[in-house]
Amino acid sequence: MTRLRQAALLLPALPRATRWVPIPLSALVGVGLLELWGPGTLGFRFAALVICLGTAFVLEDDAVATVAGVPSPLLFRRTVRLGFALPLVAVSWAALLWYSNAVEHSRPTLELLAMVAVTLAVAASFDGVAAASALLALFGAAWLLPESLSLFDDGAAAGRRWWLVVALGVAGFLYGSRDPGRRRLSAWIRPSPQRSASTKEGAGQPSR
Amino acid sequence: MSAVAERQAGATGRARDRGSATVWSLAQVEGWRLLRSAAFLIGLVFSVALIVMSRELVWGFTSYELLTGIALVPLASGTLIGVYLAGTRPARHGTTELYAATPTRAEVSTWAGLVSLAWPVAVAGAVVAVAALPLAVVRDLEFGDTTLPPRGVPNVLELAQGPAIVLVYGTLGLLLARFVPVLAVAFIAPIMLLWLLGGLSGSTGAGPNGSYDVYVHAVPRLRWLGPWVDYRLFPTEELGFVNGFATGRAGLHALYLVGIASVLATVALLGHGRRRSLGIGAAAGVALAVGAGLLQLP
Repeated sequence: MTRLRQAALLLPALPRATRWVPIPLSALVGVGLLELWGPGTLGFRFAALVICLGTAFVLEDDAVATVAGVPSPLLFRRTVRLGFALPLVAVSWAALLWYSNAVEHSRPTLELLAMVAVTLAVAASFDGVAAASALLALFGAAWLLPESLSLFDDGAAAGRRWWLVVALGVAGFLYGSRDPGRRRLSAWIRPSPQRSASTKEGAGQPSR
Repeated sequence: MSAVAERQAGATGRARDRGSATVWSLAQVEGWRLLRSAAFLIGLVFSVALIVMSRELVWGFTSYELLTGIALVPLASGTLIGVYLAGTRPARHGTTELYAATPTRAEVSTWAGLVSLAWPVAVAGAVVAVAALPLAVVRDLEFGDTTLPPRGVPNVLELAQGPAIVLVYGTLGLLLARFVPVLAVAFIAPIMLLWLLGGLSGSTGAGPNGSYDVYVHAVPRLRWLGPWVDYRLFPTEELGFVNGFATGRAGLHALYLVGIASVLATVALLGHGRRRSLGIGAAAGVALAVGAGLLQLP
């Protein structure tokens, strides 16, 4: 059975298995923020943050222990889950932009993308609570950055920094979604005693 | 009173004693645990950073207006998240049924959560005290040819507003954990509060395009109903000056916040069942919030 076929079979079960409800609800909160304060850079930034906080829990799976032993790798299972959740994020964000008649939306969308990537990267390695906490901490810390490293700036340099954050987030997600059965990165750097011993034992045997 | 009734009354009294002892024991555990939680520590770091980075340009000390409230909002937000996570821990860890089988009543954990708020409130008080100390100690400063006017001891009741905000946020976290057990709410709530209440207090710096901002600008007295008040937004004739500090009606705003916290705490406890004592508590909280809230208005 191909992966695509597997994904198609899983699709009907995803709405019940994924915590997707906070995503449209958080988008509603974002609309409320913009409605109260008017559309502005700050408003869109906070609306994006709120949507990301709603996205932080999409990787949570109550059946994680049960499905841990299935042949499908963890990265595939998570990708299928995101295949359901991320379009929801995109639709929510598009609805928010449409409602607020946003003229300039490329930078806020890039910021949303970067924050979603960071959130999912942390959620992949830890859990939703850690992801949401880390997102809030990083968002707060970003305001304290010096001008030369500022993220909340309209210039092209800040845009490049946001793209760097996106790349780091995707890399973090991929790293956190590796199959648990695979060897850790540290094991390549520092071989375990068993492996060292087996290597020494094998060293004296004739090669076939 | 019959011997049986007397024995029953004694047993009830002892049970009540055991209940309060359990509350205190649980509160100690939860209090220390709350102080070690990541959310609280992050909030503490941001509050301290805000205080350090927002020092007045000339004086070199922390702005008094900042210390009377908004400096502690990050810490209060961390407290809200930490309390929420503590309140929903049994549901998240699947131990609700296990705890239900113990002799302790369910409301004991809510009481313990409320008492455990004393720990973050104490930390908030310590942060404000340390930051305000230079303001209280230094009387005269000379910068070149200029001698700045002397300032006296800041009003303790004004400085109590910051810890009172932490109390309100913590109580709200407990209330949300009781009635809205959706984890994302814990993290979205501080953002919503920052926008709603910050706008009410005029401290978010948001543009005057939204309907809400227009309304608050039209009725500036409403700003006093926010948890923190930026005194700089008011004309000086509406403010008092005590020891050189611009002040509101000292103490009333802190009382107003305590009243709100009492109402929130009572509603959280009402989730375990209605009781007469809770009704009295709710009425007292509403009276305190409304009375102090109205009296503080200029």
